[in-house]
Amino acid sequence: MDFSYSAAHERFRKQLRQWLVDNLPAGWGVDTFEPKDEDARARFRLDWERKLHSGGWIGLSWPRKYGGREGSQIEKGIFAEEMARARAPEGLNIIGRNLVGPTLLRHGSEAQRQRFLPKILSGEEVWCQGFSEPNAGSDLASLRCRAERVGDEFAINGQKIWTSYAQYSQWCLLLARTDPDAPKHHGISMLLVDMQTPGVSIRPLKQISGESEFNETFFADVRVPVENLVGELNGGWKICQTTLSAERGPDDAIARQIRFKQELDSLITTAAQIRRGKARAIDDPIVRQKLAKSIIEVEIMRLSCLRAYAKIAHGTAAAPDASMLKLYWSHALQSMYESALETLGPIALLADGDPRAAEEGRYQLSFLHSKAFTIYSGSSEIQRNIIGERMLGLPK
Amino acid sequence: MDFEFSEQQQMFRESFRRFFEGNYNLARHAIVAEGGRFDATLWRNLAELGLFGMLVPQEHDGMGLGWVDVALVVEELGRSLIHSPVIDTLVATDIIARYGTARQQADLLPAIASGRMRIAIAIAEPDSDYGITGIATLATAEASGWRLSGTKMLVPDVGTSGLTMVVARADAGDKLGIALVPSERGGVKSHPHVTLDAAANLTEIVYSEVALSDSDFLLSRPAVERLLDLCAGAASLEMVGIAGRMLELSVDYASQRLQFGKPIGSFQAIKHRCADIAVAVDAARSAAYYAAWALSEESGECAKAVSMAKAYCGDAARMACNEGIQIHGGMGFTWELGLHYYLRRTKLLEFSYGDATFHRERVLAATLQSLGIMG
Repeated sequence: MDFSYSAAHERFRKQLRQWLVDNLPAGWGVDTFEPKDEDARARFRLDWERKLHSGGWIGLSWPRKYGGREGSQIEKGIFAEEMARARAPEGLNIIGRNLVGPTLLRHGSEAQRQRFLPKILSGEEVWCQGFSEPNAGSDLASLRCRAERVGDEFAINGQKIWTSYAQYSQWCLLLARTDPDAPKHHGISMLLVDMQTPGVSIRPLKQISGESEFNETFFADVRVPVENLVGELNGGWKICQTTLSAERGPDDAIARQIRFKQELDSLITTAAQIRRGKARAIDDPIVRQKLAKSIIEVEIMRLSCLRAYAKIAHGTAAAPDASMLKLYWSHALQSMYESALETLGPIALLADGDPRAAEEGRYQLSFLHSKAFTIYSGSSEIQRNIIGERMLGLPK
Repeated sequence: MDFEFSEQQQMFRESFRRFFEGNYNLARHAIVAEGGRFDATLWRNLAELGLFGMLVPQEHDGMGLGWVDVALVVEELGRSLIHSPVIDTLVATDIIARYGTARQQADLLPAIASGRMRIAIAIAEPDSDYGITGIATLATAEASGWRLSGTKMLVPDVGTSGLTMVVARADAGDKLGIALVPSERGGVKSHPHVTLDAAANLTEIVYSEVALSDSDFLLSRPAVERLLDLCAGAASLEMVGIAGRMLELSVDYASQRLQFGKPIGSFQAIKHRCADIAVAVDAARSAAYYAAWALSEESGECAKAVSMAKAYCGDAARMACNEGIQIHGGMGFTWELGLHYYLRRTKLLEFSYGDATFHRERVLAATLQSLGIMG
């Protein structure tokens, strides 16, 4: 065990730090922030991601031949730390990088990798994920969206739901039923679907935050060439386990940890400015206890990501590790946002637009977002089943 | 950068696990708890396994290892409910090796390595808080040496031939130090406590004008601070061991116990509790292992890392014991099954060296400082 960094890693850190100073907008984090309008913010994040790519900071551990850097797990940890330090914005093509990439690297054909991976890294093609359906949530394997073979194509008919970023995406990683007569886990295939294909339509869903990040996506006789099948026909269930593990794993978690740490630091700073009677909010011993609990839990989230990277590097990682990580942070962070509102006290109620709102209502918005943490990427109940059965060996 | 233990470190763990599984099960622990006596055979066995030499520098007949090397072993000690004065002696070894005089190191370290020297740590006082601000035990400077007076509680019994490390205030200003007091020294009077955790063999010790030589009082605030951090860090690892054990026992029981014609572990009400314990144990490991590394390296983040671990591992062990007993149902409440021994030890560790509330406050204060906010 060693938490010190080699000279090469320190060099990597220094270069990245300097690059961030040179490339973030002037006054970033002080008087310059992300746009508030949703579409403008999406464009801003995509531009930032493309900038990161041109600087060579995207696809840190991906093979060089697909545009990656072939770096180590350690560099991913350093990258996360430095992005946090600079309060750098996140990108837009998160599903492409974190989910589609690992899935194609493991299960895609060489032609698919060459065609799709470089454009994921460059941000030329943004991806969304078509897994969940209105009647296939936690019971994902019961999905009904059909893909029928017609000549050299699949014809897709059905509906997907909770499709985040569909409105910004060029491509969709789709799970569809290709054999309705087989047992439910054995009749599913994974397809790569061009979102510009005739028959694809999306309808935004309004979230409890008031925003519309996710959508319903409809497929009406959408034609997909057979070469866009990933892996074997009817082998999609196994392949999607890779996607789901990646969705819950350390790459996803460490990127989130950056945001949470930034937001917690801001909250503590805000708590030192808010008056509560004769003292500051930060002087209240109960507020201090709650904030400290979150400081500890957010730091453990980082440490657990580093442990997960070490396990990957040593080849001792197990599939339920990702579920453990996700179950941990989703609940820890929900509790952090509860504490954030308690720290603010009555001003917690004031939203963006009210001159007295704290930090333009960001904690309130984050609190609302946090309600999704324990639902998306597999609800906590599903994660607990996975941990209980596959890790602890408890009977079904 | 690598957050994984080496093969050798994992082998140390395995050898202690095998020993405890064969030689120190819960029935043996019950005998110790009910007999209220120090287990001299166990001590000898641990010395033969090389435990006490691990942290002793090589020039004093030890292995010269650090806290990362012994972290998994301390976790095993916790899992098997081995505490005092075994852990105290390990902590004391570190302090003597770093802050002791050459003479003390030559006298004490080889004796520790061979298992001839048992050392207890005395911090808590009847009227003190968890920190060092409330320490009232006083060392008064004499023409040559010191005189020590005060009352310490919750000190492990080390018998008549042992040594106690007593945290004391020096009569001048806010100076703090550690007195090394042999059990037999005149003016030392101890009597056993009646406690929640009888197996820990805790005593109250009254020091009345105890004469100490110059070198028997290490006048060093950093030494005191490190002593507290080491105790809290080791307790965190022990609590991880207990929480992990409670998880194993609960999963085993839930797999075997049948109700409504099925193992109760097939019911989500039970399965999900087990998953939640597993998550807490794993997160506690991240915190406790990191603290062990920070202690090994004397990293600048040491105090904060230890406080994070102590607070989180305390809460995790509490949760694992509470949920574990619940999963065992009526059996969990029986004396005979013995889950109460884990609960008792957890409580002892939770309330030793600063409880979770105390350590969270330390974390917050350190964070404010790093953000440049006035405390």
